[in-house]
Amino acid sequence: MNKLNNTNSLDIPENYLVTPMYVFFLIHSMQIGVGILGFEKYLVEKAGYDAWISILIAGVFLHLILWMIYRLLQNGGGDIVQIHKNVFGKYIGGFLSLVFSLYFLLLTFTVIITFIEVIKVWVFPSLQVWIFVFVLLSLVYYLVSGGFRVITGVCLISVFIGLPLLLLKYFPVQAGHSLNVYPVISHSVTDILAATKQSILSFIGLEFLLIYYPFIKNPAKSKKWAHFAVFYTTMIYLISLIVTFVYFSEEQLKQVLWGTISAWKIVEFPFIERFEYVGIAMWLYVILPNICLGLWGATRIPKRLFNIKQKYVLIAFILVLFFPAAILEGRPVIDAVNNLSGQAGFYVLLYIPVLLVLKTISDKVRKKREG
Amino acid sequence: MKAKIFLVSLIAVSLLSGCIDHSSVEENAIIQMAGYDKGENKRIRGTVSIPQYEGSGEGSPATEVYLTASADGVKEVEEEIQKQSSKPISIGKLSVTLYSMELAEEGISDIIDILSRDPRISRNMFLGIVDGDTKDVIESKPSSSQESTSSRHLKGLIDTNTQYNFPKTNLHRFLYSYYAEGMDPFLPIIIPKDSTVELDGLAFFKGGAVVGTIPESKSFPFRMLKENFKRGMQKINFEGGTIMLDNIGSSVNYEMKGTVDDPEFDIKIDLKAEVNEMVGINREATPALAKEIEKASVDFFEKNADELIQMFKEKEIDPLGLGNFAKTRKRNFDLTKWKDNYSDLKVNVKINVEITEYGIFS
Repeated sequence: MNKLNNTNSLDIPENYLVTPMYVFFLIHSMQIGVGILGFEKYLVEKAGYDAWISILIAGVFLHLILWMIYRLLQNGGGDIVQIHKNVFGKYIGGFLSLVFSLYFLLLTFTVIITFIEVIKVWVFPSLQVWIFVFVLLSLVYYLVSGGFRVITGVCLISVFIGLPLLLLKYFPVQAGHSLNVYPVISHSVTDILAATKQSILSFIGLEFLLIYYPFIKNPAKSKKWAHFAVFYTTMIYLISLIVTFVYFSEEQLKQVLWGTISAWKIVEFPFIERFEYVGIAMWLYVILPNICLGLWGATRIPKRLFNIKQKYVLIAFILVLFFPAAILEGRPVIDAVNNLSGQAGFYVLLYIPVLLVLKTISDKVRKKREG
Repeated sequence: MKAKIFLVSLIAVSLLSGCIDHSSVEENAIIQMAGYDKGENKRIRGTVSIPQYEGSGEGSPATEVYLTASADGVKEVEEEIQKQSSKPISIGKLSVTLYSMELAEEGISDIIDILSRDPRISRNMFLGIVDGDTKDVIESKPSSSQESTSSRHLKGLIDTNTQYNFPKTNLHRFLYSYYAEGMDPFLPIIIPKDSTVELDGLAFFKGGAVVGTIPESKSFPFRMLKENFKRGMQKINFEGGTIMLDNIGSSVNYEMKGTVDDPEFDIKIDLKAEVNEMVGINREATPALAKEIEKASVDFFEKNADELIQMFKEKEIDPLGLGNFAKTRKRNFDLTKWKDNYSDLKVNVKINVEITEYGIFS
């Protein structure tokens, strides 16, 4: 029989599906996470004040990747697991899917430990990490076991909670020096591309589409929302970057570890003198979907591969996350983990075009054989 | 069943959260002002002022206690002061930090590093240089003060005056120009006088050390060169008498011409002012007189601006941030080359003064 038709068997019951519009929140909230709190330093180290160009290039690149992801999924018969199986066969494909699962787990882990680092440096230096991780992961377990629709809800809430924080950009702009933003391109193409790579690292998150695609009702209609989400994310990163350019001098920014949080420090209301504490507390809601969707994606793949209950995988993965997250500390370690997951994310994004080419070839070969 | 468990845990969470350690304002020693002097044997002597809320009921003025300790580093001063304090000290509300001129001339890079590192310190904090001992300034609340404590007095003093003749200043601005390439920071100078303290000029930094000062009388021209502002007064000598120019809007614009190797700056300033007082000038307020005053003011400001820029070149400092400006406007900016050429830099200051009003009486 026709193998391609067989593979379309991944039918999710309608009551688990989400409408296409929610793809906007799913993608956008996944792209905004801990990265945006401190991405400025790494960009400025590479390309100085010209780094805004890198953000734009990275945005275009992501739109391309997103287009490819949709090409992959349109007739892929479901999610990445199915595509891998079709292209590489059961064992190699399964192995590659597991790599994806581990990558999603690594992203989740990075988000957790980076956020703990922020809390420790900025708010509670003597935080009992394991208690915090325990409470956080309990909450995440509760949300993830609620299923994909609950996670979508978390994404939606996180976007709306994060919105008012954007208004605070007014304060650093007001205190800043506008003459810094001037389109004098004084860095070489290689510098700007290096910064582009660096900014892609904080943009990762849209590849989760590969796993939750079957949960979208009328997926073809979600395309415009997905592109809109990537565009919106790019704009937010661009605004954040330009605001820190206006607020900090170039050499100063190279030494500021968390540009966005440091810029919050100038915000002062009559009723609250240190806004960064409020900002960091609110940021928990912004990173919550990262952790939830990350864990959901990481656990969904083993479920699809081995047909085990997602709940058991979830418990196992949460235990896997808990111990290192409670133990690891120190800037060098966290920097290393961030670098690792950033690199991994970059290669995952580069892998998508390769996969698209391989899939097109294998589809053609199959068609010929069958035809 | 599930609902019951949920309810019980909800109640438990909300009740148990009351057991957490809490500290109220009265139980903390909240440092509001700190000052650092040069102590003996290359040590730093730190003085802090801590307001006392306990016992001072409503209406009665708050009091302050002052603690002083000597140590090798700033953090050690904090520790030494803790040893003298019965309450845990907290530096989160520190709003003014002063350094003695003696200390600042030797360099305060180490202290600046701590300021940029510590997340508890507000970026809106004021820094100041004291010509004399910071201990004296902190410990003696001027009798003429309108405030209840000396820390509030100094905070208000700097806050208010930087809306008038003194350029805007706070920790963030200081750090901005400290770290920037082609820009050097400055801070206001505070001097203790008989019964009061006053702002008495600006101290200019090169790196972390003060290398030059200007008196208070030159602060207005400097601010004109530095930023746009809407207030402040300047006295101008005119035909044997004096005129008070009341600024109602000054805007400055930098323009850069020429190549990277041979740049030329045009600084254009437009000043709008009112004249409300003329002392020792017996002439009628006519448009012709206004023109003459405008010309005299232009001469005065241009002379002062040139003197200031000449001084900056001599001291090799750049508080106006011309290098920083050049960097954002020109490709291939080379800082060392810029510094080498700085003393020969052509800076043309063009000032336009417009006197718009003479008050409500003619």
